[in-house]
Amino acid sequence: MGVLIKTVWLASAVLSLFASTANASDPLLSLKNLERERAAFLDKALSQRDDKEQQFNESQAKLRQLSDMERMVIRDDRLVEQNSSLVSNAFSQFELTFLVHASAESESTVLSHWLEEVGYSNKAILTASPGYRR
Amino acid sequence: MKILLSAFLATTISTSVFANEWEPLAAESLVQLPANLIEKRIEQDFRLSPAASKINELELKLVNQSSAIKAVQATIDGSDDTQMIDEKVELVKLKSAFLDDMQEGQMLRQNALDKRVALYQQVLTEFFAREKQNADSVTFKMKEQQQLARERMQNVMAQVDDAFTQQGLSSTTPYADEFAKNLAKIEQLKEAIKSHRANLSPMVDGVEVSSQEYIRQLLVQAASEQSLLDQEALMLSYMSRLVALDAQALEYAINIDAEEQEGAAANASTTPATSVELFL
Repeated sequence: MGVLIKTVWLASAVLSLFASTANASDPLLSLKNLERERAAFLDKALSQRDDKEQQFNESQAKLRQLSDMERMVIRDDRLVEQNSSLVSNAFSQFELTFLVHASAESESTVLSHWLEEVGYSNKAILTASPGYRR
Repeated sequence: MKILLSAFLATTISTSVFANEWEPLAAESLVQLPANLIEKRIEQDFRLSPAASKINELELKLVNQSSAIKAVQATIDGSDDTQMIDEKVELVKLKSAFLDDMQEGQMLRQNALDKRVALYQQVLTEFFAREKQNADSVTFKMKEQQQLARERMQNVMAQVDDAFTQQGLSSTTPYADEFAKNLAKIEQLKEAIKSHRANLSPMVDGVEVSSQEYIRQLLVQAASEQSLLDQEALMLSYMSRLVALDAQALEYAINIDAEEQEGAAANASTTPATSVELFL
């Protein structure tokens, strides 16, 4: 009987181990945060503001935060346990999801990397002229 | 407490008990154990079964029967075919009972081996099914993609941090600081888990093998046990044949003795020479 009690106690110890790695309330939280902050960064970077230097500094500070968030997402094991199209899309489109690290790979600025990815090259933008669509 | 107890029971093999039987059923959670523990759990389950108790009981009985046979054999040793008939009949009876018990033990061991082989095969099939399911699953593909992303991130991490430092931003952030501190501890913990004796990979001939490989080796081992059991069955059939021949010879000796006595009596009363006196 003593052996049974000990074994049950040990089994409960194993169970409490599993409980310590139990699911968070929102397993996609890190990715959702990244998506939100990336959208905020692009919004800030693309907005027309008079104070360009201030805009640049704010964008750089945001990028620092984005790089941390990208690392959190890439290291988050909970994400891939979810059968979610959000996660699947995020990892299958590395260049668009992880802008800071992907731009370092392509050795370009984050904004020009993003523009390139969505179909606007630096050259096309610089040679563009205002006027009616032809 | 009830939940804990049921969780514990879920990790054991379900066993339905009949007289002298061992009926293990592969529980789902059995497959989640390390392969060497699967083997131990099955062995433990068998040791606690009525079949194992019966085998132990029979083995003890066989030792006693063997001593009794040797004692009777020593008594009749050197006697003629027609002498000590009762002792010889007793010896045949003892040998016959000995073989019956030995055959019963052999059948129980054969039954246990069959069950063990079936169980290993179920576990192996489950391993294959899980492997296939994992390889086909969306989760598996996403894990692969995440791993690829980690490698790409790792390659440019220093470059990204340098770029921020050059722009006058701090080289680290609270998250990066804490992560780096924890990472070293995590590596130590991982190393401790890896080298923990309860987490060691199963070994075959001193070489680490996968769970699948280990179960396959257990099946090979079971096949060699089967071969030895077959050999034992052959030996038992030969021993039975010898006992049958002993019984036949004894029966013949008893009949001859009786016939001789009857013949002598018949001869004494029926020959003319012995009957002459009746007519004088």
